[in-house]
Amino acid sequence: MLSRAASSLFWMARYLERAETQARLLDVSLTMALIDVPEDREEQLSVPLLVTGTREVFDELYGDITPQNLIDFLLLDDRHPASVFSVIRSARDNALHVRGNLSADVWESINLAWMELKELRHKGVTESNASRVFDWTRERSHVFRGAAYGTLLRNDAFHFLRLGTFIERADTTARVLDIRHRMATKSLEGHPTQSFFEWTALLHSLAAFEAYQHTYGHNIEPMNVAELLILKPDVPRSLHACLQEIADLLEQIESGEARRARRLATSLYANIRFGDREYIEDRGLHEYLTDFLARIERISGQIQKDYMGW
Amino acid sequence: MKLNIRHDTTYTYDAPMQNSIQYLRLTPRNTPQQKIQEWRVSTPGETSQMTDGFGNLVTVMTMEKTVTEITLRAEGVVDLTGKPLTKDDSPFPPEVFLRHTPLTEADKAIKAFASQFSANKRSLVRMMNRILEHIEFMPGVTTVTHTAAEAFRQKAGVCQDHTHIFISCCRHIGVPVRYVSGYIHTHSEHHLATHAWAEAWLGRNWHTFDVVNLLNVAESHIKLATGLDYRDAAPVRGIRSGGGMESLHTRAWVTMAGENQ
Amino acid sequence: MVMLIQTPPEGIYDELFDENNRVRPSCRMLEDWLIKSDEDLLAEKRREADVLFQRLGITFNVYGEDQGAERLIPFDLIPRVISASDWQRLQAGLRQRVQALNRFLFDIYHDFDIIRAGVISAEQVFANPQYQPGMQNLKLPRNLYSHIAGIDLIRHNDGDFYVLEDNLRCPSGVSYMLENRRMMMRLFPELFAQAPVAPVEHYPALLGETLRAASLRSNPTVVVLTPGRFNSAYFEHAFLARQMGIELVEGADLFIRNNKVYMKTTIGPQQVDVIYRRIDDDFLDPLAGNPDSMLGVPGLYAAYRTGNVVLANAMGTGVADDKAIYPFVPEMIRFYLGEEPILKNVPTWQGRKPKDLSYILDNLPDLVVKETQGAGGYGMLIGPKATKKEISHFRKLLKARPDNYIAQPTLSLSTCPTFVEEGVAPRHLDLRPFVLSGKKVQMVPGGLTRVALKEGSLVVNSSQGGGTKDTWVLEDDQC
Repeated sequence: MLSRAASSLFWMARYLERAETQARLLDVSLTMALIDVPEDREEQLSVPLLVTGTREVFDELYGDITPQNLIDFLLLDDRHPASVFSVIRSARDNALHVRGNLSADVWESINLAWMELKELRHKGVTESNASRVFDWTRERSHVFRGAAYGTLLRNDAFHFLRLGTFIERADTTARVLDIRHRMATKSLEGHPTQSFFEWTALLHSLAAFEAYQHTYGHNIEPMNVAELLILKPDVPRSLHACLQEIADLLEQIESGEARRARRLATSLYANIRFGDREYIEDRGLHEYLTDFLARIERISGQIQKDYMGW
Repeated sequence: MKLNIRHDTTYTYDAPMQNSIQYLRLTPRNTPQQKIQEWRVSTPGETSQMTDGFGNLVTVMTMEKTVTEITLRAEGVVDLTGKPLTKDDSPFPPEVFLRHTPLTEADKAIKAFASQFSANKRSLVRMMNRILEHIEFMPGVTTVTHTAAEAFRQKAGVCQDHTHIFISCCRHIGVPVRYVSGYIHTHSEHHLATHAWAEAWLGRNWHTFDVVNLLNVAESHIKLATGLDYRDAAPVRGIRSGGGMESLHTRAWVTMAGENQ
Repeated sequence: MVMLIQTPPEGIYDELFDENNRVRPSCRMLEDWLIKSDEDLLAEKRREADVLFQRLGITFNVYGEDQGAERLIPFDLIPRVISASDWQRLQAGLRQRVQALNRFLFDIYHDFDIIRAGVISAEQVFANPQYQPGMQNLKLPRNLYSHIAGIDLIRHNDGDFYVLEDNLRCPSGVSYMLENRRMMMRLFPELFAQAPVAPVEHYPALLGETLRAASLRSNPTVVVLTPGRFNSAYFEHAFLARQMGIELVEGADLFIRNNKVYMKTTIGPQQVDVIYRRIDDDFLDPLAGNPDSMLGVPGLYAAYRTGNVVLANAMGTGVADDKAIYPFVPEMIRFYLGEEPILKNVPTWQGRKPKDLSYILDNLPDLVVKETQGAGGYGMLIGPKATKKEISHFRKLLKARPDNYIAQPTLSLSTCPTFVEEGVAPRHLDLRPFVLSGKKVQMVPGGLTRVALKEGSLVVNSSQGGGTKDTWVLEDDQC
């Protein structure tokens, strides 16, 4: 398939995944801010900014960290390239580029999301109706994935699209885990209850709360959380699950001379697949995740070089 | 008259140039006026050939490697027979050459100037003389994108501008005329050997009008390509990606066989 | 609520009603339906259609507005019906006309027989802005130039179809023809159960077949070349590519090596044999046309000249669809095919012919006078609507430069009931069938019907408030 089309599909899927992440992160942060002790409220609210590395942009545009400012910045602001509004616009822009490769259903799911979002933005979002917008974002994301899964031919177009989803997802999981873990460990020293909420927030942000309870029960242990989100292949947003998909997809994509992305992905996959919690503990979770993020970034870059780098 | 020709075109770039494709009209055709005895075009890229709508031979060169300099060389031996131009050496009826192009479109000033002349050889020779009086030969004041009207206003230019103005005037008064690019053999050391002139159709035959040299016969001219204007007949036309600023250096030698270069 | 259906003004041909305001036999099935539907139902269906079109993204971009501006072309729910016998004649006429136009294009880029025979003057061809000297003596497979032609027709008072204009460059609108049909079937399935409407859904398959036949290679690789997503017809480019299952490429996706065209794919370069291009001639290759063009492919002209790629349509087809050449099409049909033209041209008087000129000058108040090189309604006189002063001004212009002008009678376009604010009222329309030339000349029954939504307006262009309708060609006139 066309290199440019592969690139558009890859980025389209990444952007849509990013929209969902943004909404989940903000949702959890707003809820946590209500639970948290007042002096930590601001720290709670700033989590989505830390995960996406947009604290500076936010400070420049808004200054005060308030729920409404965050809602405006993260959901609707077109000056912020990672706002839900901006990423859905970028996703649709990419979709428009590859309309020839999309089924009518997939195209419509994205086009409709864009049209509805414009409407939402026009009306404005406040703290009191924000949760409806979060639900909307998640739903749109599900519809897109459903349409893609249910109607796209299983060819390289599909594979590149899925690659985008899983690269973005792996990246997000690692970042959220890293930041939330640090915050939880910090509060563990002072307020054990607070720490419990932190872990809960982390699991909710990654849609893994039920999975945790199912696997480990109610008692939340830091290393259990890490194990769940890194090593468990059956948790959809775990690094293991993402890497398994990525390695698989690269295996299926028709490639001429291209070998490097596949090699990098397979090696990182093996690393996780045969890893265990002792190894992660020995290295330190933060160091482990920092290394992981660098490697996933390299894989993403290499995919673009191997298949889209014309 | 047998002539040796060597023509080097060198492009240098101040940043690496990654990709380039060029249309090179650097190969003269065999005609009753010129017999090609040897000819060779050398380039640093991959080449293939085509013949364009005007019947010109075009070398298409592509470069897919990164460089900071390109040198193109055309060289060979051509025998000029001294025969006059014939009427059917073009795939077109002469009327095609009444067509204006963006480079030859006549403005008010050119129209006013051209209206003083008429469609016969004597009048056109007078026009040629008047153009050279009006437009000083001055390298460096115009570029390949200058139109006839701009050069006419500026009262200065090179052979290509003189030729465009001549063409613009002829077409305005209903004389079919074509642009010719090629080489000229002169005894002057200073004159550039790459050259441009015009050929006008006067009812029965094509006639040479070399404005810059005020010549009416092509006794020392080697024809590379013809067209409606410079763009059609340009010896080198290319496009590239990367490379930053480009500087172009052209040198050409036309010597009589036996002479030293 | 009973719906009020306005009947057409006298003297105008209406597609639904005959001169006694009775529904034409071919439209009987619409009569019941129209009477039973009330305005609220139609209004609701129209809203449904709007939402569906928006969701599908069947929009066109408006130049000059901000990048997000995407508009819908208004879609009218009441179909326009063409009888089987009318279509038979139209089809034969279109086939004949397009064949002659292709022969003409071959001729003026090779031996100039028609000029030598004195049928058309050299100047009219060679001075034409759309003429491409670069096409001279290029051998094209099957000698085909306009693989895809869109012929604009109108129906006059006399009930006959007249050709208003030939479109031989990149005619657009076919996606609306297809989507309009899909929409009608979705909104009113019951109508199709009763009426023998000829299908149009196979157009993409025929187009694909035509494009493959444009190359002599077996199993050629075909692509659609678009200027990109900001082009007003981008939706159609993507739509057709998807329907044909071929790649939609932009200039930057292609490159030239050894005079061959390749596209950049995830597994390396892949050679392209046929390009269905939706980019104008001048932008195809910056080394041959406009040097500032970023849309095209440098070197494409060389690949084309050397026969390594086929462009559909060919370069230089615009010369044959020009206003100045239009009056000669009937002559072309006689000259190349030795046949009498089946479809009528709008009678055209040419200022350059002394006899025509005196007719024009004598009848200015009744004629439409157009500048041969003018476009978009500039330099035009509409006699019946002009003041005495304007007419005398044009009289002077015509006398000074008769070559620059042609004149035509003022034709009335036929009308068809259309759902507008005031209810159902007659509106003027035209028809653009799409004619495909490959191994043979084929077309799907019908075409795009454009309708002027303003009362009395004759302007059907979407940029000026025109809409579209589904076009029904009946398979059989007996029912």
